Amino acid sequence: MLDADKMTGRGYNMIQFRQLLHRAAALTLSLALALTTAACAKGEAASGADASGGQSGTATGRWVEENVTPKEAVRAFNTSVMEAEDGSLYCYATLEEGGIVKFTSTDGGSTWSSELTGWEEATGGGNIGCINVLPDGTVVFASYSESDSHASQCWIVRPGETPQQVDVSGVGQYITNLALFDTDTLLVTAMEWSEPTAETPAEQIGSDGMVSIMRGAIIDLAAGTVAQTLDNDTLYIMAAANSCPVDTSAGEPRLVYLNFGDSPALMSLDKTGKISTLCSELDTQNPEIGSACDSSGNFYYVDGGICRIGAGGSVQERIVEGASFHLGLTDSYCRDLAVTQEGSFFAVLGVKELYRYTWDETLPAAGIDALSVWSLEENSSVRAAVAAFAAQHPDANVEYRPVLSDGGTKADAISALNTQLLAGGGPDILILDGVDYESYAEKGLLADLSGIVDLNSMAQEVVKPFTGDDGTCYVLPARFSIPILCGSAEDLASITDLGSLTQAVLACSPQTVYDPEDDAYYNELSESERYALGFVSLEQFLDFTLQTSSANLVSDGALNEETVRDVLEFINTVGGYYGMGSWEKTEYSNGIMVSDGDSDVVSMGDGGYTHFLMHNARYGWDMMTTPYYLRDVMSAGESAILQPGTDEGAYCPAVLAAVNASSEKQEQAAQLLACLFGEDVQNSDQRDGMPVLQSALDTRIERACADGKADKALMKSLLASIKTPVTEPDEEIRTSLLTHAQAMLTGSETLDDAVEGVRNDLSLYLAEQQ
Amino acid sequence: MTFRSILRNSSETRAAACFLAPSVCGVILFVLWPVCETVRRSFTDARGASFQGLANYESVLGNSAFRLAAANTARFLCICMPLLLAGSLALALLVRAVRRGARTFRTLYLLPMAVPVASIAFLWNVLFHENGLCSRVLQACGAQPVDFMGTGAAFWVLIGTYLWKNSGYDMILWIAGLDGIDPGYYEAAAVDGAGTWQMFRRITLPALRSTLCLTAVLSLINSFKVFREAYLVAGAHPHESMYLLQHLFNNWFEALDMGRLTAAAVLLALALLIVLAILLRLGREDA
Repeated sequence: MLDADKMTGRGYNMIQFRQLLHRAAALTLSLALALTTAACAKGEAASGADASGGQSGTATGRWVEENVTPKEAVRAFNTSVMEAEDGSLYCYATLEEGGIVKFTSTDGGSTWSSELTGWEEATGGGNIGCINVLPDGTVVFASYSESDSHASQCWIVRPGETPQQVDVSGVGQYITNLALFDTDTLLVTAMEWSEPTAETPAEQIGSDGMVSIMRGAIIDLAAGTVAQTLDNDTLYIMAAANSCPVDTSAGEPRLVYLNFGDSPALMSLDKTGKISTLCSELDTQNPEIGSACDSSGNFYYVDGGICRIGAGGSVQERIVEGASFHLGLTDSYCRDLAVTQEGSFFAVLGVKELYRYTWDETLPAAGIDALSVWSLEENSSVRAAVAAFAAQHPDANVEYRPVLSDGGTKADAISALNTQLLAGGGPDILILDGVDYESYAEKGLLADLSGIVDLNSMAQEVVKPFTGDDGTCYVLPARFSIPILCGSAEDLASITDLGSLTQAVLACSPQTVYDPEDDAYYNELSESERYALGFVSLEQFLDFTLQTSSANLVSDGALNEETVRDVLEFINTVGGYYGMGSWEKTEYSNGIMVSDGDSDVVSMGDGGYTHFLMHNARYGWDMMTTPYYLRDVMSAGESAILQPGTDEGAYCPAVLAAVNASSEKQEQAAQLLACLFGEDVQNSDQRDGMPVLQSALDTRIERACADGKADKALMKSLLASIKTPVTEPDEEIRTSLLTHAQAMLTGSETLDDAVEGVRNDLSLYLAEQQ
Repeated sequence: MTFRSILRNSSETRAAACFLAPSVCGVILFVLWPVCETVRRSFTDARGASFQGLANYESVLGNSAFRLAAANTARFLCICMPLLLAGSLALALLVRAVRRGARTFRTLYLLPMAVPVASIAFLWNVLFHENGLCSRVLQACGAQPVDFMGTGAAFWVLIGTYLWKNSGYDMILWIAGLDGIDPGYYEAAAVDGAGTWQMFRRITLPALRSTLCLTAVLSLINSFKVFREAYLVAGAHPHESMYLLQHLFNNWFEALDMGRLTAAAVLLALALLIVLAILLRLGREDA
């Protein structure tokens, strides 16, 4: 017991001091706990403002994209947007009906007035091209003779004047590029044709029997003379760099361009023909043509967004993230870029769409309270939908970053998603490609889409398997493709199932081992040597089989042994006939993409390549992602059927969209899905399949059949036959099938052994699901 | 009790409460609340939204994968625990008996604990794969190659790994227990003519009872970590002889089967609680 009377004053003070120390320590710990807990709370994100003017700590301000294409029917923009000294904007374009028009805007590009230039008439009626403009309004262009494909003329139009011809005949016959340094200096590149001499190497002689040479020069317009002739290295760079901007920040004007030769760099060319390196280490992989310079000498270009290289060359940064804009879409390509004095950008995407990018300080910063979209891998349709949504709802904020783009494994990504979903959180919209979407729906984690998307407007063959008996729909594909088999109508007539396909294969010669290094592999075979189907590996052959046979391998949690046997028997017979047991695994394969400009891009894999290009396979097999594929098939005088398999009417759904049932942004999610399933996105060619919107699908079919090369009835009948959606088989099942297929083909297992092996491999996997 | 002492006691109580608060909060937040949530979700659907009664428990108990995993886990524990406790005790006695180099032995036996799991998984593959070292040795002897990880031998590989990795740690615990026994007991027993075995049986073993409880509890907890090696070597669905409850839990989580996962976790926790209660009771009786 403490008795102060019996203690010395010093001892009592010590005890008091210790108690005080205890209290202070307890208070400090409590405060630390409170602070720690507070730190765990959801705090405000850091400012999203960037170097372009946002203020630190306010978490507001972001770039906004607007389509500001003039109302007139533009065939193609010929120049980037220029800013005149009075602040007005102007650019030149070719109209659909012909004629070069000058568009002018006095409201920052929101609206445009047009004025026909009449240059065609003034220059003798030729086609106009290679237009290049200076801010003061000086224009140079080339006119091309319609009668002589090698002839062209150069013209200059000074402000308020009519076109005056410039003599560049000393440079070359056919002008390929024109670029003004200033009102008195012009860069010209041109092609010159000449007759070959006896010493001319054969490879330099073109198909027209002529030798073509590229030439270039810097013209002194005041004197009308060639001031400088360009050397070969410079020439080829400048001939390609048709939109290289002029930098006047250093006093003397110079053309600035990205050089992607052996050593990628930002280069400049001055009026004397001298080339300088402005920045030798570029942080870019795939820049697009459009580029611009501002008055301070900063250089801008497009590579997944708008990037800037500072005037000194030491600062490289992406200032506009293109992920949520049309700028970042796979089917967009920036041909011209412009930057205004106030820091806005104008980009010509494709050839006839003009977009403006402005910084809006009043909007929440990117990433703040954003509608989040989840997918394993990059998806161009989703990207297009996000861009369309952003254009329709500039106030809303969308965050779409495919989880595998930052590295990591699929299993980790799915684990992380599951954790979030089961905890009642997670992304608002899910793109469930490559994921077992059915389990998400079964567990009640997804919202019903039937009230969000108008299912009646979709292709019923595609959406019906995703719709429950009560009309509910938890996952909906935005695209689909069809595995098809191509060949002559007579040959295809006898193929109805895996058995008849096996017979068709056995009726032809066996395929030799795929060897991409051996030129003989690509030689065209005689009719008797042709094989039925071309494959590059056993893995590819298995995937070919599973793309029409994997939906019923497991039903009601049990292995469908009959289906497994059918699949393995097919692999054993065909693989054994081809000798695939000794084939080595290869990652290399052939494939091409074809487009004639107006059509969708047709992708052709190994199955189509060996048939249509090598002519060594009697049948072609491929994934039809556009009706244009069928047009190409029929143009070759052939027909197509659904690839036979154990699944009846197999098709491959893609862009499997769903909404998180726990999302607090159901309304916004519905709006984004409306964009994904809306006319704009569905009508665009994203190279990831055919649209599910019936009207868009019909339009696509009509367009593909417009020239009469494709049979609309055949396309319709193929579509009417699809019934079973087949997605990627579970990795566990695929691995087991591959292991035992390999064992069969190397002779270490019989068919019965293989079936039993698959059963044993999957017994635990399936037991877990019971 | 004077008024001053009451005041002092209450102020000490407050100070104690303040000191305890962080850890109590931590335990509530990171242990008790998740446990309660797990129990709650074992009676609900995957989202934890609707009550399902005992459906999850019925489904778990009727699931053959669960029964196999539970049986394997129990078999693993029943074989490993006695072997580990006995083996590590024997090691401890031997190391104490060694007069020179005892410290070196202690360090050497602890080394397996420092080996990263990924390295162990790699070692397994090098040793026990169909084309691994063990198979090559068998082939050299004229036998057929064996894929140890694809047969029932996988279970014994798992047990061997567990024993190899944890023996050193348990040995240290036993040595601490042995060091705590008063040497006077042994001297008195020797004076009375007791032999080594009698001294071990009558003095050492009874005195190690509380150490046994502690070592058993820690070994039990450590035994669940062997899943990491098994998963890294054989994936989510290994040979059925080494298919443990953690495999099942992991796979059910991936399949979003939260109801059954939590029900199975509750069942496992109950089983472990019973085992721990028995061990703690043994320890308390000793005290």
